[in-house]
Amino acid sequence: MQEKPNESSESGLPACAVEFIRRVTRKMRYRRKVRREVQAELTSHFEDAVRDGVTAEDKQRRAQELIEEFGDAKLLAVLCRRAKKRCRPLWRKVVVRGAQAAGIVVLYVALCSVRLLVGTPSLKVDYIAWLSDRTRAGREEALNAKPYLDKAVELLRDQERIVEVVRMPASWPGDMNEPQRQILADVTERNAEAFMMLRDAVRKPYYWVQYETVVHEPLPVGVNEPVEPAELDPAWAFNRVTLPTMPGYKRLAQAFCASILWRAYQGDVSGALDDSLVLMDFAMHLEGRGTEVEQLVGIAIEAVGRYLVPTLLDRCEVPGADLARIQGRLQHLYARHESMIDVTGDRAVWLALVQRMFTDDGAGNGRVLKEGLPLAARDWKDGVASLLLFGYPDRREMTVLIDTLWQEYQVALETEPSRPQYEERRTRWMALAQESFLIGKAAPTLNRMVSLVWRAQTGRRALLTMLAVMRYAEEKGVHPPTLDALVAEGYANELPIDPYSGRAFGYRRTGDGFLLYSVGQNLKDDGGQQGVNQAGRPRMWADNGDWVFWPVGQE
Amino acid sequence: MKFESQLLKGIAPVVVLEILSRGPMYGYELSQAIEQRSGEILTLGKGTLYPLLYNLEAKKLVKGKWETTESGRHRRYYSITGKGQEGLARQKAQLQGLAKGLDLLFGGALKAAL
Repeated sequence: MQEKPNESSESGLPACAVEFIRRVTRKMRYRRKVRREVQAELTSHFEDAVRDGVTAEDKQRRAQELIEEFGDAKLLAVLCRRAKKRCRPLWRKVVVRGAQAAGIVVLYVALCSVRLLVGTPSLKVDYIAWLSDRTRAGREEALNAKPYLDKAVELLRDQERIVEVVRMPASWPGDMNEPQRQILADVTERNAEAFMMLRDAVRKPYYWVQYETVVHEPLPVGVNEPVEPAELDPAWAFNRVTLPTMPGYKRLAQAFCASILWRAYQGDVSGALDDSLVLMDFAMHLEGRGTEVEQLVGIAIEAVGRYLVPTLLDRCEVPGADLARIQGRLQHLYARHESMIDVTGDRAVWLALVQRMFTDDGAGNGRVLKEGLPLAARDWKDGVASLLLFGYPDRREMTVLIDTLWQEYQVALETEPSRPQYEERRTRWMALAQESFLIGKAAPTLNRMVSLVWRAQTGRRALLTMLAVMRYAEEKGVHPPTLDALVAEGYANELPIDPYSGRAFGYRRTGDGFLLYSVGQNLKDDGGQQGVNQAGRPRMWADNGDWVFWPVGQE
Repeated sequence: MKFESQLLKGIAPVVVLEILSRGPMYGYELSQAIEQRSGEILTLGKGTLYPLLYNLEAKKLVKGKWETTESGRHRRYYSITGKGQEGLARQKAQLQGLAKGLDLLFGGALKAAL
C-alpha cells in the first residue's frame, strides 16, 4: 500500500530528536509538502534508531548520538533542500526558472521605469510667448492686420452658401447655371462689408498673433475644427499652439474668391484683378513667420490668388494698363514677402515640448520623463532598448537634435530643386528626423512642405513671366519670340528663373497665343507636355511631364 | 578501519547503488546495511545519507516510494532503477580499473593488504 504521510509521527521520540527534526525542516525553507516528507523520513530514522533503547535515558542517549552523527541541522537542511530541488520535474524547473527570469525582468524594468516616472519638468522658458514676441517684433498694435482679419471673419454671412460655392464643379460663372450664379451674387452682396474689412486688413503691413499654448483632447474622428482649450496641465502628454482663426480665414478666402469671379463676370475686371492681389496680399501676411499651420494656410490662399489672375486673363479682356499695374504690384508684393516659410516658430514649439518632457538639472541638461518617450525614442524597439540600457538621449542631446534638424530643414527649404544638392538635403533631413518617433511622424508633412514652397515659388515666377509676355503682346501686337526679349524690351527687369531647371521657363509662340511652362518635378523638359495623373488626365503639379501655366485649363 | 570522509565521498553513490541493487531499503536500513556489509569499514555520515539519496533520485538512479508497513509505520523505500543499474555497472568497472591501477602502483602491496 502506497501512502504519503500527512503529518509527522514524532510521538515517542526524545525531545532533543523532535527539536532537531523541527530545526532541519524549518531551515529547509522549501515547499511545505517536501518539508513534511523529509520530516517523516527523519522521524522514521530516529524511531528506528531509538527503538532498542529500554529506558528513556537510553533512548535519549541514542537520539543524542544520532543527532551528532547527522551533524549541523542547518547544513543538513541546506543539502536536503538543494537535493530536493534537483528532484523537481523538468516542467516545474522550467516554470520556476521562467517565473524567476520574468520576475527579474519585471523588477529591472520597474527600476528602469522609475527614472521616467520620478521628476518634474521645469518650465523656465515660455517659448510660446517668445514666438509671439518674435512675430510682433515690437511693432505698434495699429500695424497689425490680424484684428481686421478677425473682424472680416466675424462679418462673414451665409457661410453655408460659401461651402456650396466651393463644391461647385465649374469655377467660372459663365460655365455655371443660373442658381449657381445666384449663389455667387448673393455671397458677394451679403459679404461686402467683410470684404471691405479684408481690403482694410491688407493695408496693414504686418500680421502677428498672441499665441496660446493649450492642451487638446484627442479630436473625434473626422473633426478638424479646433476644440476649446483645456486648462493648462504640466503633466500633459502633448501640446500645440492654438490657432482657432485659421478655418475662418480659409472661409473668408473662399468667399472672397467667389466675389472676385462674380465681379469679373459682371465686367469689373480691373476691380477683380485688384481683389486678386488683395487675396494674395492677405495670404502673404500669413507666410514667412509664425507657426507652420498659419504659413501653410497662407500658401494655400496664395495659390488661389495665383489661380485667379490667369483665369481672369484668359476669360476677360484686360487692358494693357491693368497688366502693367498688376505686374508692378505683384513684383512689389513678392519682393516684400520673399520668404514663404520660416521654421523658427515650429522649432520653438518642439523646444517647448522638450522643456515639458524632460527634467531640468539646472545646467541645461536633464533626463526624459514618460511623456517624452515618443520624442526621445526612434521607435518602440529603440524605446525598449533605451529603457533597459538607460540609453535615451538627454535633454541637451534632444535640443541639439532639434536645432540641427531645423537648421537642415531650413537649408532644404532654401535649396532650389534644380540644384544637385536638393534631393540629398531632403533625404538627409528625413533621415535625421527618424531619430525621434514624434518628429519622424511629422517629417513627411514637413518634407511635402518643401515641395509646396517650391511649387508656389515657381507659380509666382511664372505669373510674373506671363504678365510680361502679355504686356509685350498687348503693346507690340505680337508675342515675344523668346523670353529674353522681355528684358531687352523693358517688360521685365530680369528674367524669372524656373526653380526646377535653373534656367528661364519653357516658352514658345503657338499660333495666336503662347506656351509657358516649368520643367516640373522630373526636372526634364518634356516640350511643354502637361503631366498627367494616374488616370492619364492632365494634372498640374504632376510628378511627370511639365507644369503648363499658359494656356490655362491644361488639366 | 574507517575511511577518510573525503575518500568515501567519491564512492558513496556507488556504495548506495550497490546495496540497493540487492533490494529496496529505507534510509535507516540502508545506513545499517552499508556498515554491516562493509564489515563496519565504510560508514556513511547520516548527514550525507539523505541528501545523497535525494540527489540519486534527482538523477533517476534510484526511486523513492512511501509505504506503510504492517505495523503501521510510514517509510520511504528506495530502489535502484534501470538507469541506476547501468550507472552502477559502469562505475564498478571503473573502480575495478582503479583498484588494478593502484595495485600495480603499489607493486602488489595493495592486493596483499586486501
